Amino acid sequence: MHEPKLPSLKIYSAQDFPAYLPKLNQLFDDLFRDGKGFRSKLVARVAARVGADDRCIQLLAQTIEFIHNASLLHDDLIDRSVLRRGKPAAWTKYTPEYAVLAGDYLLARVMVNLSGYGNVRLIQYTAEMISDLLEGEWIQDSLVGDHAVTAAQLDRVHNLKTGSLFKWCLRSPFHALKRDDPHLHEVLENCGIILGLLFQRSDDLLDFDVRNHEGKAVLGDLKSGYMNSFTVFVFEGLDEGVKSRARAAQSLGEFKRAVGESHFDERLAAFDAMNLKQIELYAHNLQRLRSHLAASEQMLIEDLSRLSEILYWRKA
Amino acid sequence: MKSETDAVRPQQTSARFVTLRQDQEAARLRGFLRGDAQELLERDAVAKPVTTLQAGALRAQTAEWTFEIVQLAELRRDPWWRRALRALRPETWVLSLAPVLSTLGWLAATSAEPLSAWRALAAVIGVIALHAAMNLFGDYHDHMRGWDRVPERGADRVLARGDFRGFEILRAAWASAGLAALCGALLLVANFAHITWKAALLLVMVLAVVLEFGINRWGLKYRGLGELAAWFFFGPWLTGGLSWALTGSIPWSAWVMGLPFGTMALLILHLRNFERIMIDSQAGLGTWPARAGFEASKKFTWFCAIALMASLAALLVFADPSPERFLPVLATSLGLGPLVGVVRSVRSPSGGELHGLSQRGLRLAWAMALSFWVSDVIRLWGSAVLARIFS
Repeated sequence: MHEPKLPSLKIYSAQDFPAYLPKLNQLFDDLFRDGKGFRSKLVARVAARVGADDRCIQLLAQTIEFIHNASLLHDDLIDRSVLRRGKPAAWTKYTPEYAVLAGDYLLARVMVNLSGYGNVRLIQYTAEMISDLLEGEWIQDSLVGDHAVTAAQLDRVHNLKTGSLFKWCLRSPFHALKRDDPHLHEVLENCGIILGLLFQRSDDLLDFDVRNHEGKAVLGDLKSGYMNSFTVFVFEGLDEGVKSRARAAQSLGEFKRAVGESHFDERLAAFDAMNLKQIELYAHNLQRLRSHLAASEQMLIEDLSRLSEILYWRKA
Repeated sequence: MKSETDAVRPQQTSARFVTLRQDQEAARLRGFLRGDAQELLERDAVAKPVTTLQAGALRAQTAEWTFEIVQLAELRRDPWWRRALRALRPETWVLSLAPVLSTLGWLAATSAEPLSAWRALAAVIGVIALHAAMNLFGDYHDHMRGWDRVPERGADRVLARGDFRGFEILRAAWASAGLAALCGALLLVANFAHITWKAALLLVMVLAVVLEFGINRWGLKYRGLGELAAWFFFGPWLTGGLSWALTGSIPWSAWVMGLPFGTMALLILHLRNFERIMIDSQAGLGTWPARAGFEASKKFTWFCAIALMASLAALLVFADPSPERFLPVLATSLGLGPLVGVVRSVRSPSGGELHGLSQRGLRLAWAMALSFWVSDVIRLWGSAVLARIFS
């Protein structure tokens, strides 16, 4: 496949931040060192495919990584997660106060950078995305310990928290190029929503050691009192007593015994089938996107079509 | 460690998607929504609107609709009668049945003249038919406007699920409305001598409100007026109207009789809107909870509960002071306590405790209705009134 020409992306550089705040730089150095940069690569690829220049690509890639990492700084503190990417979370290594300030600093820097670019629609859209992200975090926090949460509620939270970043990756390059056609953005929005759902649902499966190639800790959500999307899906139609025993499980084996091994497997197959339909819907939306793109931009469809495989089936 | 359930990707489903734009293919879109597009009928398929997480789409009347085309054979629909029950929502009929049957019992016990059995039957059938029509029109128009694309909205979503085609629901709604109109016309003719211009005006106003409630032409239901309309329609109008239909007059006590039923309807509608406070706020709808906010909505539930008990007390003191009526007071107060307790325990507008709140409210309404009916039976059994009904 013909690869787009991408500039080498520079997300974090100590020179971009005040030298008289060494601890802030140290914190950012830790934070940005180990990230996969999936979102920055995605937005850079989309931007390159639709003809954005290097400055624009760099700005968008940096913006999404700054916002994503700001949310991680805040999330870890809110969730009291002590590890991030296998290392001590910033709020434990530095202080909770520094973690909050560093996150705020990144968000402020995003606005400084974007306003320097001078595209008001892009600034507005980015601010909307940040507020969606915060709403999602707020609501998710209120769902901890809530055993009556529904799948629809979780989808809504995931759309705000996870989907908003994916949507931004797809839409922001077009806004940056002043391509603001509402029909184009509706298609991109729908694609982003589905990618967010697929990513989050696949992530929720890791909690049950399904396609857990990264070796993520098992039953983390359940033990912290959070009902993730697969837990809610498995619990559908089960007695309260069964659910209560499953919630108290300390290992995956215990959980499966509580809900029934065969029930677990049936629900997993049904969960995959449900998401396969989402993948089909995503493919349908990509075909609609085709009509909004110039002939030279059609390769974007091929790039994006691989994403559902990567995000849900966790295939590299 | 890898799980044994590390799948094995499932077979491709046969779902197909079609997106239509209102500004380009309005007629085809309408055919898809009504379910009578030739291409669907030829393939024996239904077009299910794809759900959206964008609540704003409700207000924006998004120009694009995506449908999943599903063959009826693939849909694995429930038996016809079960789907029909889902569409008719008989569990909500308690809001009409309770005031009608209770007023019948009250009139039977207190009116000087024997009641006409056929008029009573026409009134009961007419009111239930009107209620069913309102539910069906509501489903149809929610579907045509795209409201049922949001999972939390669109009642039982019989159209979004593909249980029926749009035009089938519309036909059923008109049939039901026709039956209601026939019953109403019979009662009007029977009471022709008692028709005054005030009564006629009231009737027209109420029918207009019922129609708007079902069709939602101006969206008044979602601008805070739905609650008021529900209070009036399911309360004083039903009890007063029934009194007029059966006796030709409306004593003030007939209005008082309607207060607890209207307040119960108000409580249930409030609970339903409270359940949807988050989604309605995101969609920019002006229901009372969305306007007043989370804490004020919890307080309003308290207000409804107190108003319900006060209206039962008013009924007992001013309209129907009989010892049997302590039974509804007792049953309602026993049921209200746990319901208010659940509302108090709701921690946030996205809390799972909100889920099913209106169903709890409906169960309370059934409990109150049953206690009214039991008290009527006790009273009628203990007197000679039973014989007068069938005279």
